[in-house]
Amino acid sequence: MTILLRPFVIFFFMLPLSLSFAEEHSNGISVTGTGTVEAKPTIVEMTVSIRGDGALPEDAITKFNGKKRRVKKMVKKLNIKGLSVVEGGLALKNALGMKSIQAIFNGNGAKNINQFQLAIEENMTLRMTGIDKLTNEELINSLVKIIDARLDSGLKVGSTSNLAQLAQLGAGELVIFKITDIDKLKEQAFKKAIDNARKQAEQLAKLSGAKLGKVTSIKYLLPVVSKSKKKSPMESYLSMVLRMQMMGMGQMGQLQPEKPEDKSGNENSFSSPVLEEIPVSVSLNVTFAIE
Amino acid sequence: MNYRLSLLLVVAVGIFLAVEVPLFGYTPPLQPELQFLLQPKHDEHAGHNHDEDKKGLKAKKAAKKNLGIDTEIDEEFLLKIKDFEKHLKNKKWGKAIHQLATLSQNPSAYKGMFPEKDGFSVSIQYKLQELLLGLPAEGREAFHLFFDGKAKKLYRTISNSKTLGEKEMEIARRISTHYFFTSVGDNATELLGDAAFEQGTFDSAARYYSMILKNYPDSEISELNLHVKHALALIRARRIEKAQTVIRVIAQQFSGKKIQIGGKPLLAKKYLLDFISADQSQPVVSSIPQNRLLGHSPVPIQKLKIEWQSTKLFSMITKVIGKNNVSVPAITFDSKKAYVNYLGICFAINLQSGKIVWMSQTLKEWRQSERKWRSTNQFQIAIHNNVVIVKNGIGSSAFQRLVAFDSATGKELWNSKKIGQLSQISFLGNVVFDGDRFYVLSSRQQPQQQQRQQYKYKLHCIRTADGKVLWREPMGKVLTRITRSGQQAFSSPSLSRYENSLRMMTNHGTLINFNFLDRKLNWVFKYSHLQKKGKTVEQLKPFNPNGTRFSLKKRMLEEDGIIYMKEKGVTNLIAIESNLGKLLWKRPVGKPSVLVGMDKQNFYLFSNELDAIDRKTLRLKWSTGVLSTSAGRTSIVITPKNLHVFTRRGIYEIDKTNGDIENIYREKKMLLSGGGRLFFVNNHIFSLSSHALTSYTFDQKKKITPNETSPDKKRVIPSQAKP
Repeated sequence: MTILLRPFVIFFFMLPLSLSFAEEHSNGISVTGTGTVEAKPTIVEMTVSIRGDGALPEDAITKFNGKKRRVKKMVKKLNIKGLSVVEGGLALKNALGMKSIQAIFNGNGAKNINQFQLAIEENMTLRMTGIDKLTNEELINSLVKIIDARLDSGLKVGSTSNLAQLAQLGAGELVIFKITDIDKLKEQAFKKAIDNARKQAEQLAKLSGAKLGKVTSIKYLLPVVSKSKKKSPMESYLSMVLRMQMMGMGQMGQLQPEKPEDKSGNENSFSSPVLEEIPVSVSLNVTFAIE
Repeated sequence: MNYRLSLLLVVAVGIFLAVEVPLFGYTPPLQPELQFLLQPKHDEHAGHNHDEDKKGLKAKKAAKKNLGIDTEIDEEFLLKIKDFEKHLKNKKWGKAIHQLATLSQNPSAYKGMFPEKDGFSVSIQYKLQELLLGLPAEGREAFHLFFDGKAKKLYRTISNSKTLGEKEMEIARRISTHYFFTSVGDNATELLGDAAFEQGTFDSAARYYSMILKNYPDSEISELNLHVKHALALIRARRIEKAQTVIRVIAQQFSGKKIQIGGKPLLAKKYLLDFISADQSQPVVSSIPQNRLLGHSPVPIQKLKIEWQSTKLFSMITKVIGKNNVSVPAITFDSKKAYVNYLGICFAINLQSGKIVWMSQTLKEWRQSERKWRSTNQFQIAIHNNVVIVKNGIGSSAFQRLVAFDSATGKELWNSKKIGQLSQISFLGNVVFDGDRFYVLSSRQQPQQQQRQQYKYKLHCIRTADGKVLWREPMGKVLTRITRSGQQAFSSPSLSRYENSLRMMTNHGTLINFNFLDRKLNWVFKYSHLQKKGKTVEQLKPFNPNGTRFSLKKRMLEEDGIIYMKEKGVTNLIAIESNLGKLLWKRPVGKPSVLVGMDKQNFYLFSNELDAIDRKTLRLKWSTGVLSTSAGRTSIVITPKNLHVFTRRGIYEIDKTNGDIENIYREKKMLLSGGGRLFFVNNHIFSLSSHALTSYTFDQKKKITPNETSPDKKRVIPSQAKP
């Protein structure tokens, strides 16, 4: 690089930095306000993994359709208020894919790698709404009824096809509690965050002898992700298997529509495997003018 | 520019290392029970000589390919058959027939079986008859010319005889087998058919009549009579569909013709149709045990009421053996009692009251005896003519003995340990009764002539009353599997009887058809059998409360002359024509499933799902997820509308049309046990689990609590036992 060009390059890289410095040091007081609203979960969900596989593709279809129909029948028969079935995405797989991986691990080579057996999978969700209106006892009774019906129907809990769910929830957790009407809760949280910011800014203005003016800018801060917990051996194993699945082994086709990316990244923070009040938190960077 | 490129390269490599290396290089910590996923399978052989490993691998591969029974093949016989076929092709009738006659003169000179297609081998006798029946018209004429005189001479000894004894029948068999295409071949065969009909072996009778109808068009015997006899034999053998086909032929070819029955002229078609409807009311002759088929009225499972429950002795036994070793015991019924063999301790339970009538030994004696809890298959029980035959595993080895008890009193009648001929024999599988005798298999270890020990299956015919051996026949060398630890392993075979034939399923790749009359193997069918893990002989399947492992007894069913089979480790449901030893069809199904039942519409297969396959189309009708028993030996009960399955979550009532679970019946002891078996005896349902034998009724009778005798306090002396 020639010596003549070097100042231009330095200028080019320093430009955004200087601009941001200028922005940070614009007129006014900038503070970060947080607002948290806690709400009782309103829905509870559990995933039922439906899988049909067989020596003949037709068998896989018959098994899959039969199981799906029986899940719907089971829900109808349970006659629990607010309980419904939400269909998930459909996946077509080679049922022998995972066996081939295991054979490779066992040192048996990849002799089964070309064998094929169709498996159709769908993760259906059993969703129960209006649980905030139930007492804990009523809710537990209903959940036990559902779990019992699942077991009676021979629907596996924590089967291999449920790895994704297991990895997310952790082994042993059967249900997930969620809150609805997040927009309304967020609105309340925003109000709290702005109030909090104003309070801080007023304190700073008072201390510096200035008078607080209008809000000149608001920046929505992404929530800080909590410390990553150390993975248990089971979770590590599951994530390893998931990684293999992602690498395409055993995966034939995925008909599941891609979910829109959750840019706020906090969808999961509005759910909990524990029945407790779920917090909805927001953070805002608010700049007030000084008069 | 170069600097920039190199910088970019460095950054790219950095990103790759940061992202990709953990992906490939990181081995996540596994729980101890999952470590096997990352370990080489045969690490126990590490440090061994490579040549030895190679040899072992070859032996394993060879063993895997040829599981089951090693059937001998006589090379000389094969060559002679080739010669015969060559002569036949060149139309050298004289040479061909001479060759066939030479072979037929002394078939016992040749040992072993003749290999056919689809994994079948047939007996030399059968092959010779097949070749004879397959002769072209010119060949048949030549045959008639060569052997008519000889056959007539033989037949005269029969016609001159005043009575038809075993000697005469043997001559008739000889004519039918070796000289069929002579002027007396049809007469001898008809004679054999009539004799078989009289003896009640209707399947054999039908075969003889059919042989004349198919292969002897110029017979002087009335064709209508033969058709009627054929149809009658088929009806009696419960081959109704085939019988109806014959009746249709009679209706077309002999419309309005009458036959003489008891001196009365009757219309053949009407007579046979009446015979079918009369015969339908008789008990079904089928290999499906009657206790698996309920009556014609549907049983409302939700209305089940416990009549009595025998639990005390069961609880004591399970306490001794520990919850990890419990299993569903072996059981058999007569009209008054249930007889249980629970890992060596045998007892009879009164079906009316649930009281224990007798016990083979006290719990204390049983506890003291040297036992290691092994496979439930080692412990069998069967009853016939008031004699209970028990098979028990002894000590830590797989050695198994037979003991006979009086069914009424529990008195020991004989013990194979004390009978010289049987004292050194270890028995295998189940026993099959035949009048005053029963059949059972043994495995005998041959002297160590080779590197690996040789085992041979032997069939014993034993008199039930005193344990005397009537005859023994070898059933072939056992082809063993080599386990990971280098041990030889083979499964426990199962026996079933149909007329004069005994079917032996080795449960690891071979089905054998053995004929009692000539005491020879008729045919052998070998099929591909895959087993995951090497297991020692009849190893115990441990009780696993969370798993779905199970052991099902039923793997082979027979109806209408067709054997249907599907065992664990086989990838097809297979149908075989039992008389001819021919493969009818194969239908791919899951490897873990086992054939547990069938009715007129469906086959039922059980693994961790219960599947119904349509018998006509072979399409899967439905499959329902039912948690199977994990304690071994489960069974299903088939009713006209439903299936009943005793799982570890109770007795399930499943709709036969769509597989939907209609009702579930539960009670406390059931849930402790992990499932079990269901029986239908004396219009009652009985459930057997590792924890109880329970009798159910459908009405509102008062529950009777059995007052069981405490097994440890005193042994029930037969004379003191109260019914």
